[in-house]
Amino acid sequence: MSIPLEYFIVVSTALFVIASYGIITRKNMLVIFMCAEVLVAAAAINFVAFSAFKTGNPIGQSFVVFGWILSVSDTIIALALFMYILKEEGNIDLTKLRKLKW
Amino acid sequence: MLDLIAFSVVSALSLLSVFLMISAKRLMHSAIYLALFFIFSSGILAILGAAFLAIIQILIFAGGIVVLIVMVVMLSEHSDEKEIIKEFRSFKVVASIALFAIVMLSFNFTNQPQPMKTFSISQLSDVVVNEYSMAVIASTIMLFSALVGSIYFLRGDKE
Repeated sequence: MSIPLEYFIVVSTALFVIASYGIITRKNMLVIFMCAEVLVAAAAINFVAFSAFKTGNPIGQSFVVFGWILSVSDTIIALALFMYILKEEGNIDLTKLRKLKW
Repeated sequence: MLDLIAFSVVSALSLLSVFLMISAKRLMHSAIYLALFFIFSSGILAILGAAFLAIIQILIFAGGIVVLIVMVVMLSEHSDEKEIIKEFRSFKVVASIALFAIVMLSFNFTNQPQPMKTFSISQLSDVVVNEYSMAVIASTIMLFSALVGSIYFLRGDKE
């Protein structure tokens, strides 16, 4: 293989930065949640790249497996919470949900 | 050389799909671009030699999670205007570029082709199931409690 490790780091960092820009700019909770999924995928690329280039064992890939389990349970809770907020409030706009803000 | 071309195409397409995802006006388009991003990033994982993770990325994320997100999008209200927090927008752009620059400057790039090691599924499963068996048990408990918590959120009022 003739791809250096740095290219993967550049790509995953660019994905991370674009997704975090989406998190701090968008108002809709669903888009923010999708950006969080992209953050997890960027971290997975980083883990797999370091596991393939630097270490001689697949521990990095197993960390990605456990991180995905975390991400999936995060998805279950978050989507159920969105459905609950939709049922109670009628929208999932972050700037209109001010019940906890005094 | 061929793998470098494949890597460039796949990574450029995944960056483009993430950019289109955060700049799309409608929520459904964002969900479609998220599915495209998962497919292209599984290509990056496949180039890295992690075939199992690439397959799981397509099966679970592009197949399952995007469908769940599309269901919630269909239940929410439709608005054609793009919802963006307009305060401090230039500051946010500058902060994102600065974050990218800081991470890039903290590495010393040698740009040398290094030997890459690929692992088979049996090696990966050996590490996951034998070395981290307690983590597997803990993650099953966590998945079960997440399911119970989601049922708690969405249960009907049965007084």
